[in-house]
Amino acid sequence: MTDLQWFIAIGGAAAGTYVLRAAPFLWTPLRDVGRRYVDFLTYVSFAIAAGIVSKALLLDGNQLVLGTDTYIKFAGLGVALAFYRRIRNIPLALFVGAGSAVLMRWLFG
Amino acid sequence: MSEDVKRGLKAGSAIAPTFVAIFIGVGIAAEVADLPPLAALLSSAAVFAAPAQFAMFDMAMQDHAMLQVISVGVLVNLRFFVMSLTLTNFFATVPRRRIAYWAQFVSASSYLVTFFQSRRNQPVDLFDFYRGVVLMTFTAAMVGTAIGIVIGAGLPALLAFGATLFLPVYFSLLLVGETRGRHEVAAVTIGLLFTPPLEMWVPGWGLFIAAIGAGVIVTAAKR
Repeated sequence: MTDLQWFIAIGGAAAGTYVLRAAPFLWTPLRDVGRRYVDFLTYVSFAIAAGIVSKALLLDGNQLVLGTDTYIKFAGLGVALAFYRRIRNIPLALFVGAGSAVLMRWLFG
Repeated sequence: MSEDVKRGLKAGSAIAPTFVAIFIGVGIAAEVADLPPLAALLSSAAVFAAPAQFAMFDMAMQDHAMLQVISVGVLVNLRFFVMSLTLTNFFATVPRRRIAYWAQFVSASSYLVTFFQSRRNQPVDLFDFYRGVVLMTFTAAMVGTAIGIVIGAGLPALLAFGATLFLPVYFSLLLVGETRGRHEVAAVTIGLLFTPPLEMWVPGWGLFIAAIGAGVIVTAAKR
């Protein structure tokens, strides 16, 4: 694509995406839908968060990957969860978990 | 800057490394697809959705028509509609003119971090909190894209590996702390188990399909 075509494509995708993002806030009937289905949307939110986790741990792109890196990721997550259970501090548990995974990858990767 | 914006900035800083890592990938992909650097930065600012950007770059490299590239970019982002729908419940009193600007920055992270904050018994202005998360994640996205354009694939593998872990570990910790009752546990379980196979089956849509499915099943079971 030429430079101009790229700018048009980006502008088109951005405009379409903005409509999806903004419509529920700006159009009253959609705001009412949000209020009516609050339970459903809560469960969807939990499932999205959980899906992001399992996708990041198990997939590379759209392919299932079960190798050393996967086990290290699970081990790092385990360390973070164990640390969080003990100290109840999310930022600290996050850095300890991610840091331990990096250390394990440096040692065994 | 209000205290709640600062709280949002702090919460956003936990996932900023993952944002930087993902958008470094966007910058690299843009270079491979031969985008002008300004267009690559503009795509991160205006589309602000790495999966859609990857899909657009990939289709453009395969010589698809421009309308197809735009359509894919929009369709991959359909999930933002559901996320914004959820956020309307937290921003009900915010003037629309104000939201019209900040709606541009709804992403899985800004939405989920705000959602989890809403479940805590803290007197927080959720819109200010959301703005804080957005300020951090958007900055991280732009920095990541710029780094990706400049350094290409030269990022040390160990650093890239560590950076990508922040998002899943952070959401795991939030889920452990905030999931209450069997219905929410069921929704989490469905999301955990069904997202990977669905992503493999319907690339780019698995997360969305699994989440909607979880919402439908658990809501029906509850009734």
